[in-house]
Amino acid sequence: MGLRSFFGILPPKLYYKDVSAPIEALPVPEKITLLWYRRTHSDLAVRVGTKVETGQDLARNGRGPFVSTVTGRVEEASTFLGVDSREYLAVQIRADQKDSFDPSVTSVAGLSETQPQTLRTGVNRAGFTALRSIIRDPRVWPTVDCLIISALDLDPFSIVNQQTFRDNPEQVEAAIELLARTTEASQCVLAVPDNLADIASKVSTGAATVAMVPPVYPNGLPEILAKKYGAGLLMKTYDAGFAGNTVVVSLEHALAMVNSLQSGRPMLEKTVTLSNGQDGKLRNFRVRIGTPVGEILKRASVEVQPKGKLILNGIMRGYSCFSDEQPITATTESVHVQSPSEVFFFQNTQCTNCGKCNSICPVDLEVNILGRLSEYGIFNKCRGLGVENCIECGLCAYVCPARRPLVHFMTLAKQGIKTVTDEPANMEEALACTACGPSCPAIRLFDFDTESDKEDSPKV
Amino acid sequence: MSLLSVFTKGMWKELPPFRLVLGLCPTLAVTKSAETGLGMGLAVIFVLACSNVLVSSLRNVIPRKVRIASYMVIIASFVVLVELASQAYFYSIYESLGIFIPLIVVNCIILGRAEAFASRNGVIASALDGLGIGLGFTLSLTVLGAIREILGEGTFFGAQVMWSSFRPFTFMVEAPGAFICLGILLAVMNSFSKTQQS
Amino acid sequence: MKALDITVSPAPHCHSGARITGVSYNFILALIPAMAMGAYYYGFDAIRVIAASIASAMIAEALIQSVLRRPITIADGSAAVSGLLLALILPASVPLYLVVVANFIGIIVAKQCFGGLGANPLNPALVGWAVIRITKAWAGYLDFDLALINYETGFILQYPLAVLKAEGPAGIAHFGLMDLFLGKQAGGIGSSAILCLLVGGIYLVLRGTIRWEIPASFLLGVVVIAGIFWLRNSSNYASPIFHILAGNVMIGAFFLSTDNATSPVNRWGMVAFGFCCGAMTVVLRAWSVYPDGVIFACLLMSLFVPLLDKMKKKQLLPPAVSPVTPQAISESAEVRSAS
Repeated sequence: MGLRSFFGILPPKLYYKDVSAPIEALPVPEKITLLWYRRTHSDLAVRVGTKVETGQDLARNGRGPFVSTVTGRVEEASTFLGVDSREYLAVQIRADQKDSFDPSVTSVAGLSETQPQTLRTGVNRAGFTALRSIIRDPRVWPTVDCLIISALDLDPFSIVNQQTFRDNPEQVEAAIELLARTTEASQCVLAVPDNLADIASKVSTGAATVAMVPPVYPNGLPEILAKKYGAGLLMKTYDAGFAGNTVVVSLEHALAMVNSLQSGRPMLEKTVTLSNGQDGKLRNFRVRIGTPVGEILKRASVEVQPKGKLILNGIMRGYSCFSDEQPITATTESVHVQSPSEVFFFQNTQCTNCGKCNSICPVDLEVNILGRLSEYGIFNKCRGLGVENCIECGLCAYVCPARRPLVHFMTLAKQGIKTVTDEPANMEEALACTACGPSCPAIRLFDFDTESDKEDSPKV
Repeated sequence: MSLLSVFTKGMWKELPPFRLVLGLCPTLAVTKSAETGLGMGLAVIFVLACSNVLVSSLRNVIPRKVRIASYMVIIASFVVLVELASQAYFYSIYESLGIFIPLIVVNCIILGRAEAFASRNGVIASALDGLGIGLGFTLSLTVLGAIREILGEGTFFGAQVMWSSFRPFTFMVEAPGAFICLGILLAVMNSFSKTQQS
Repeated sequence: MKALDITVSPAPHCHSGARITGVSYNFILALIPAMAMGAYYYGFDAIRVIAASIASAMIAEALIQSVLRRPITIADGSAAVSGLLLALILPASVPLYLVVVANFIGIIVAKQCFGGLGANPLNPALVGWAVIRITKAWAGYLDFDLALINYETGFILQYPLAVLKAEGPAGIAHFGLMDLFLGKQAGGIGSSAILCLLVGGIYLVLRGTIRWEIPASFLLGVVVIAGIFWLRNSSNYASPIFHILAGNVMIGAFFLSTDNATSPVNRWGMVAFGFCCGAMTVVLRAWSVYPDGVIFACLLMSLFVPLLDKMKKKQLLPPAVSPVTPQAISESAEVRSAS
């Protein structure tokens, strides 16, 4: 695991790995699974048995395309419940090895002179649903004060963005230029981990300033980058989002976005880091979006032992899955395998008030009090202490000597605030009201969908 | 409700300091020894029974709007009787109880029984109620006083009960000792009645 | 999807390895030098008190937890630590029943009745000490001048703070500051071993078991307030150095006031807490009837912890109802699409 300081005057530090691993490409698997969060007025445009082409929009009336990443035949469309208690639609496609592209997929002509508005439309049409978690709302496009392109990873056990930066330093400049134009950001920052300073010094970054970030978790998280190097903390409300908006795009997504604008093809592949607890070796794989995790494990000949753990998206913020058929999505960064001896269990002990969580919290929450309030269901007080600012980095639970599931308590409080409070917690909540259905001007006019933030990170 | 249950409810079901948690001020203040606790309890029995009888017999005469003031006058008269009597015949107890005898006037148990029971029931029932509640109060005070006296002074009603080399734990007769002792007794009684219910 | 036989649990999926037992055993480890010093000077009597105190604290905890049908947690070491701390501030000659009573009251009344470890508003060891201190018939056992009269240790067995109280600064001239620092002074079993406590305390700070803010501001509070007294009137008040080196200040600063449950968790709260403890100590030493005020100062300030915990920068809160209206969004969107 991460480094733990013996002399604890400094809190234990989790360093990002400073290793290079070549990206191995995996062939298109036999069967892929695409996850889709179905909204009220949209539906699947295909049926079981329909033949689909790469890049085809599988949804009708969807807000943003639901892109097929392979050519093949739809085999099954079934619903399943994610851990966020929302119903997802899983579409399974038996894939052909050869791609034939959908004719509607065309590139944006004359990229260098194009208007920002056209560029944005292009990005949206290319299905950059992955970026919705990062760029606030793809249709409203708030004024962007600061654009951060991050070569840091989200998890200590992921080296995807690092490796992308190592491999393609020459493409960075183009990406910065294009994204700055697309977002119309007044300020542009390239965030690079300290250990890649020599590569960063060779890269010409154009309009962007280079920020050297110490490779310590949680510096790579978008919220922390925005707080430290951008226009301020990304708040979970539209209020602050409009006041000082920072957009954080990971380098891999930035390059994919440029690629899409140039070729017109949507993002089809995702790089993930595979790590396991025993030897600590990291390997990078590039796979089609929708590939089951099991394919990667098979290729790397790693086996999940009984009672072990299979973790997607990192050990700090990720989720453990119950099946190796869980598909890779556009936001999956890493796959981590733990043996039964490494699996860590939370305990049902009470808080001893040691304050370690408070001192390590990157957004200065009073975690000790929040944990207790949430445990006993006093969600309104949690709101007063700012639990909605929690970025769920996991550090509080990581250092807690009583081993309390603190992150779980924070999520519970957030969920509780949404459901318990009488008045809508914020504008998002108000707009998410579907009582009046299609007649509501707010939804009709703006296609305003608060769920877009979470759409592409299904947690199973 | 039978007259017997009216009398006995003060012993356990509505035991003033522990079940009703009423009259805590004298309970904490005058239970330094079993003797003072008993003296206080007897004074309260007398006042409670007499005021209950008088309030009950006058309950149709007293106008509703001035009833509290009238009860006060009745109670205060009996308290003055007790005070003068104890001053005359039990001077040591009078000394140790001090201000708490006059303060019986504002004891919430007495006013509470007058308001809640005596003003709605007959004379005999009210007398039994006053006697029962007063007896419960006396018992509680005596037990609390005995515990505090035995631990804090090593004596029981002034007689040495602990071994000769016993160094008294005088913390128990200080104010914090009263709170801790009362709290523990309350907790024990609550858990006892909880197990009884289940 | 077919499910594998694997574990599913919420994030994060790893842990630093810290445990509650780690905190307790670090405390005990840091107190070993002071224990050894006490055993060296007061011999078997000191060992007897320490053993009885730790044992009775753990028995009290196990007993009350089994009565209250809570999980028995004596293995986490917190009861042992509070028993040990109580033993170290008592004189070696103290009778054992007194130690047992103090521990039972401390653990049962001050700790478990309030909900156990982490929920206790007052440090159980200090409550136990305070109970026997205000019991008039027993307070004599805690008078170091009387209690240590039968020991031969090779240094002056007069309690420096009692001398200061009785005779003023003129009386304490014969206490060498170096002797005080090395622990050659009458006092509790461990609380007089200033150097050992300092070493243990610094170990705890470096180990991250306690935060440095409380001890540092505690000592600062003592120095500042004692310094003010001393500069104003040095013939009536002792010097700040003497105040730091005599009595319970060192054990108070590093071990008694830093108890997790009874101290604030936010930085400026901790600083205020420590400083007020130190200031209160000197004030009590100067003006109260007790020679030393550390323990009462810690107890008093512990009551202010919920208040001190509010000394924190307020979070930027999301608004209850967002000022952004649909109209505002539509206008801004139109402006942008027009440009």
